[in-house]
Order: sequence, then structure tokens, then C-alpha cells
Amino acid sequence: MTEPELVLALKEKSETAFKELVSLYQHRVFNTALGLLQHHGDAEDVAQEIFIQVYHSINSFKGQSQLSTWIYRITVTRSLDHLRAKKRKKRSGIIGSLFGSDNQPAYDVTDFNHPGIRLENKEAAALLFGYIRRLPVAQRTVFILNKVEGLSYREIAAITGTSEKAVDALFQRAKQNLRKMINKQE
Amino acid sequence: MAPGIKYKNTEALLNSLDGMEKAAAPGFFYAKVQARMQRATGETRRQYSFQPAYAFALLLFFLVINIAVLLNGKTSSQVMPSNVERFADAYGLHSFTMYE
Repeated sequence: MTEPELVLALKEKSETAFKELVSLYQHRVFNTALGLLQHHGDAEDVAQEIFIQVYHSINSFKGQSQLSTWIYRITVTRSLDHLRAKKRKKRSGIIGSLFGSDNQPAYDVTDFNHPGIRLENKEAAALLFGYIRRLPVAQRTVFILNKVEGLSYREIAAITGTSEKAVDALFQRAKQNLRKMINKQE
Repeated sequence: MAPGIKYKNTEALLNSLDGMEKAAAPGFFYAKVQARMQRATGETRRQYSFQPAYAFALLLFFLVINIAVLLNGKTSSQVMPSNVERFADAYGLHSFTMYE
């Protein structure tokens, strides 16, 4: 099925088309969500929600960009929304723990191990992901889309609705900030 | 630590994601998406469906209304309002024959 045929079939709510869509994009969506969320369970949850959203909102896809760009855009938005919601929950948890006997940790301190990292780089990568977690959202997004998902500046610019120059600037700033954090710890 | 070594370690750390493979979506992913969609549809239907508690409450409500109407009708037929009686007096409507 070509992309226009797939989109048309999806708009007609074809189950075959939806199955093909999931088959084509599940790994990309999951990997992107995993890179941004750094949590396997959350990434799986969000990835499922993303495909359900694509199914229900396919009529809003006008074909002005590639289907992959649109899906990546939804993936980034939903993943960041999930992060924000998680942060709000943690904040209220901190407040709750001031008044109650809640012994829940105020923040997630576990190291993230991405399953695709080479064995010799696992320890270093886990450390780096910890620093990536502390980057501003825009820098974190660009860094993950490039380094984890392997997208080009052009693709990232299309997904984020910015220019390649802006993506490059964000990427360089991300690297600069990561270097600062790494050097501070050493 | 000598600056050269620090720089080397920093760059090595920064490049630790190089050559990484993409993570694969968990097994049976499509089936899980389908199940989640069906759960969401079921929950929406349940929201709008008539649950027994609501049906019983509505039945009780109509029953009370009917009883109130019946009781109200009974009491009003026993006593004619005074203004209606005065009207009947004025026009001689207590008894009526065609030939009067």
C-alpha cells in the first residue's frame, strides 16, 4: 500500500490499514517515546495511546507533510505531555509528603538503560541519559530525535516546525550543556 | 585530572550513544493497542448506558409524581372552590333543565 492509499484506507477506518500502520511505525514510535521518557512502561503506554490518537484523528491529516512526520509530531507531543503530567504528580507528592506519612521518593532516581546501547557503552550511556533528563525540553527533544532516533536536522525541523538552523543551534546548545554537567561531576 | 584526559572522557561520554540500535516495540503490540481501544469504547458506552440504579431512581420519581397527582385530584373533587360556587349561584347553574 502506498502512503496515500494507506491514509485513505485509515480514513475509512479499515482495520487492515490500521494494522499495517502499526506494523510500519510501532518501533519508531516506541523508540522515540522511550528516548524521551526513559521509562519502558511509560513508553509502551504512551506508544499505544499515540496509535489510538492517530486512528481517531486521521481525518485531520491533510497530507501537507509526510505521514511519518505527523506521527513523530504526535509522538513528541504526547511524550512531553506525559512528562509534564508526571512532574505535576511528583510535585503534589512532595506536598503530600509534608503533611502525611507518604514515604514515596520525590523524584525518579533510577538509571535508564536503553536496550539498543552497545555493551561497552552501557554505563556511560546510562550516565549520559541522566544528564539528558536535566536538559531544557527543546534541547532534550532535538538531542533524542537525532542521537536516539537517528533523524536528520531536516526531518527534526519538519517535526518540530522550526528551521534546520534552529535545530542545529538547539543541538549545539544541548551538547554544550551536557559537557558542562559532565565536567562538573568529574 | 589533566585537562586533556577530562576532555577525552567528556567527549567519550557524549558519544556513548553512537552506534546504538533502535529499541523494538514490545511483543504483541498491535493486540495491546486493539485491547486498549476496545476498553476505551466499552468505558464510553458504560458512561451513557442506563444503569439499574438510575432506572430505579427514575421509576420511584414517576411513582411519587403519580401518587401526588392522584391525591391532589381526590381532595379537589370533594370541595368545590368558593369562587366556582359563587359563579354557579350567579347564573343559576345548580340545577338546569332545557325547558327553564
